[in-house]
Amino acid sequence: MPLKKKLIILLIAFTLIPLATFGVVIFSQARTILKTVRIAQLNNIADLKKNKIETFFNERTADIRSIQNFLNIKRNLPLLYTRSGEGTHASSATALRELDSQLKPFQVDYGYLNLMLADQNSMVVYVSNDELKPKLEGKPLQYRHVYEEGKKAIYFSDIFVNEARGNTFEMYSVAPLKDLSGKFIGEVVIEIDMGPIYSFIQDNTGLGETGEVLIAEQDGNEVVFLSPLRNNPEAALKKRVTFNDTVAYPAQRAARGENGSGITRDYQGTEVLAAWRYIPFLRWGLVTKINADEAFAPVTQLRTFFMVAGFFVVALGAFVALAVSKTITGPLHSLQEGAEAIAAGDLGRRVGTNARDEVGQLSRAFDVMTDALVHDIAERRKAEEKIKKLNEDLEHHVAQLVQSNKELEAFSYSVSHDLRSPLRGIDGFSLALLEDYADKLDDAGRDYLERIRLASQRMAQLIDDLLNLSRITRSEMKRERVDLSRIAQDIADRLKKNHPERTVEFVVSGGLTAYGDERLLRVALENLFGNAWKFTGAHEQGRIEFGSAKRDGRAAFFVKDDGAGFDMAYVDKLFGPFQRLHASSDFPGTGIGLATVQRIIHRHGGRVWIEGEVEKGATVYFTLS
Amino acid sequence: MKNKVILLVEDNPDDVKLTMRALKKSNVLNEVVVAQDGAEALDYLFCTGKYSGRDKKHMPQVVLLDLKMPKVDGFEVLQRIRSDERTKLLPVVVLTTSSEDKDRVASYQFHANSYVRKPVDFDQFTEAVKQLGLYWLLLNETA
Repeated sequence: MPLKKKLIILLIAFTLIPLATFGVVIFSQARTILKTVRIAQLNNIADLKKNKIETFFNERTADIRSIQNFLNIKRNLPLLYTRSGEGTHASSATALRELDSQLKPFQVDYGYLNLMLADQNSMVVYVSNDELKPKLEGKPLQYRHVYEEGKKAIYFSDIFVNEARGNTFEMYSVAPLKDLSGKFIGEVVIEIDMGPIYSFIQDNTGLGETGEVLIAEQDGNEVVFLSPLRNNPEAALKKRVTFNDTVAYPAQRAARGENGSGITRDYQGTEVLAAWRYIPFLRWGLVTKINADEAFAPVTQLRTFFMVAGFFVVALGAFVALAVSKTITGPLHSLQEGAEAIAAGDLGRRVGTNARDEVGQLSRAFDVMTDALVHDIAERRKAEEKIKKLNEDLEHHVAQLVQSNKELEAFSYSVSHDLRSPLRGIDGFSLALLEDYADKLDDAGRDYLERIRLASQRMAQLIDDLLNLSRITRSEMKRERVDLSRIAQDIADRLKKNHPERTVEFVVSGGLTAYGDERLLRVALENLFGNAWKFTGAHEQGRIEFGSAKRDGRAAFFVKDDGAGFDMAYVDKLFGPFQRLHASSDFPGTGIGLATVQRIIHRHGGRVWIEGEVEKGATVYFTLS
Repeated sequence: MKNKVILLVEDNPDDVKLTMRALKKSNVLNEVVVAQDGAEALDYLFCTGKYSGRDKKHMPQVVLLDLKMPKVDGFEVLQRIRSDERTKLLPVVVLTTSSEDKDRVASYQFHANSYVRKPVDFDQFTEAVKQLGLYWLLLNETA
């Protein structure tokens, strides 16, 4: 992976991951804290509202209690019983006046819509509000069950819509009335306007944009919403949800008589934070709630802030990484280019910079290396040229050698052919003279001719030996394992067979082998055995031995005889071609034998030497590599 | 039956004389035709040049061939003899002074029937020629 990529990935890893972790932790912490705070707030508001509602209705209770104790009512209400049945009564008219004088101001001063009195049979016998009189007086009270409740104690009715008064929301508060003797004489009914309560409930102070307060009530297996809703002013008494619906949890729980708070779902199915309270004497459930979205908006903002900040940090990091990698990879790039140029053959190229950092040091070290390399290359070139020149010289010499070898071969061929031809003439015609003209020659003449013939034959022998010697030097070597003992035995057998008159004992050690050219080694052994055979010739009996012995720590083969031997003073001359230590009349030969042996042994990388004593024999030692 | 000729290819007059004498002493009575070099030998065999008038049907009994000769040497003559239908089966004896192995090997490679080294000792030479002559002449007479 390029350095640039690595750096960027590293930087992102080291900024983004901690940032994200930090953000998540902060977010969840903040959310928890905020939730606690919000719920506390909602609880406060719920308690406050509940308190206020209770206070309000407590005041209404106090009002109705004081009405219960009005002597005016205790005395005058029974007087109104017969009014509807018997027409206008003098006593009832007085009673009515007295009641009006106290109850009308009471109704107006305490802000009630109306104040009514009903008799023991729920018949309305008095209406304080004159506008409603014709409609209500002399008729049974509108809600029978309210009347029944009112017989027992002070009772607050359900909220209802008064269509006659323009669809206003109202409720009755009823209470039993007794005369001085304690006898039930009827009920007082106060008509309470819900307007102030609603406006108080609908005061959403502290609940933000989406928060609201509502009241609800159980109605069978349903929950009825009692107050207008923030986004649905017509909801009061109209909106209903069934218990166990998946919506309006806080309202359900409050209406069921529970108190509590938490995160839940409201009537719209929206996730909300809510607190709920139950007001027993009104049978009301009160709910304060706010949408979770809004409640947690600060946290959401925080998250957004973190994300934006994170993005900027990462972007900044990437930018910094790019810049840093550029400052690092820039010099590295130029170093790489330089290295490639040098590799491509531009040996003059230098990449050193003055930078004091590691890359700068590397670049300078690189130059040092290049210098050393250039020096090395120059040295090597010099050496190569030297070798090349030496090779050329060598090739030249080899060519010369090949040439002279060829010349030598041609020369040998010439010698072999041309030098022998005249000799054959000399010998042949000498013989022709001897044979065809014998009668014309005396003994001396014939003797001369014989000598001519012998001389020419000897010369032919010399030529042959010389050629053989040169052939041994030139011929190709074929190395293999050679059984020297067997060859020695062959030669010994042949010598004995060819000269049965001689008494010579051969002692050949068995199992002697060497690695070399069989043909050449056979020639060498033939020469050595030939010499031994020849030089034992003057003795009555001879002994010739072939074996091996340790000499100077190495195994050496030897051919030993007990013949004429030689004076060690002349040992140096023995291996020169045509060198002889004996008169040819004593021992025939051209003096080429040992020279031939020496060449063969040398070609095998071995050494040959000779030890001897006059009349005690000679021993030729040789080693083979 | 009339004896066929012997073709002696030899540039050295001494050798010619000595060979003739040796043949005579060996009682070889065939006529000996001497060619002094390879070119002349080929002329004789293929009836060209100065032998253009010769009867082609009469081939020599045997060719005694020296190797080292001016103009056309013995190997070339041998090659030509062996590559021509008319002379392919002609007996050829290589007679040479050379003792080089390569000459002997080459001679047999070119399908010489025999290889004889002319020894300096003339007794040996005579003996060699005698055996040669007898062998080839007898062989061909019985054939």
